Amino acid sequence: MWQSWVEEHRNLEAQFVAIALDAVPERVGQLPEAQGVSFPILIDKDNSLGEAYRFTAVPNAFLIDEEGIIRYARYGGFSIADDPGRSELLATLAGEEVHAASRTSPPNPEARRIFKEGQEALERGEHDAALGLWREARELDPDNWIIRKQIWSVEHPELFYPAIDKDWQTEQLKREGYVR
Amino acid sequence: MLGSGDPAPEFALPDQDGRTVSLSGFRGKKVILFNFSSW
Repeated sequence: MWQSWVEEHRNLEAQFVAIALDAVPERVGQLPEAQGVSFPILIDKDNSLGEAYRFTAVPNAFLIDEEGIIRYARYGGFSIADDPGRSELLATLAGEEVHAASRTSPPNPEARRIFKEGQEALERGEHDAALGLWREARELDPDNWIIRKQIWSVEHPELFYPAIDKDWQTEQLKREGYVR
Repeated sequence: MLGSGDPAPEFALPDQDGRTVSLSGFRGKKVILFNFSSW
């Protein structure tokens, strides 16, 4: 999907860069969208980008101009194949000023610090310690979907790979007492 | 949230082969930054 977009829009001379917010990097390479691509796919294991770009959910898109200035930002629900994100991005690339309706909550820096600590524990093979720290981070930042969903995907990989079980997620949110 | 007119924060992150890629390395080009996840 991303690769075909990149090929179709080569004339726009924009560099496409995908960044996966994944604490378990191996999973990214297994995604069908990540196969045989001509653009970089970067891995942000400890959510540093969420802190810098102020988001607590994905997918997001930003268009950055030649001088390093943001010209378009859509937080949440971005798809390059679907409107409104698709049209908004193309309009911005054509020089129009577009204000995307964005939704995300600001990240909690302490939660991110604890999440990072948990990611490091996970890398050392300390699975339970990692999940304990991540749950602590989730308590501090309950609207942070990057933390919440990574707990799920590490606790219950079978509900994410190869396919995501959305019904389970709806039920799990209730079990966790999460109310928007 | 960041928006149009804000400087894009710098990052330096590994690609799938472990090579570090930074935003400043693309200076002079338009960059479409897309954030996603496997979960």
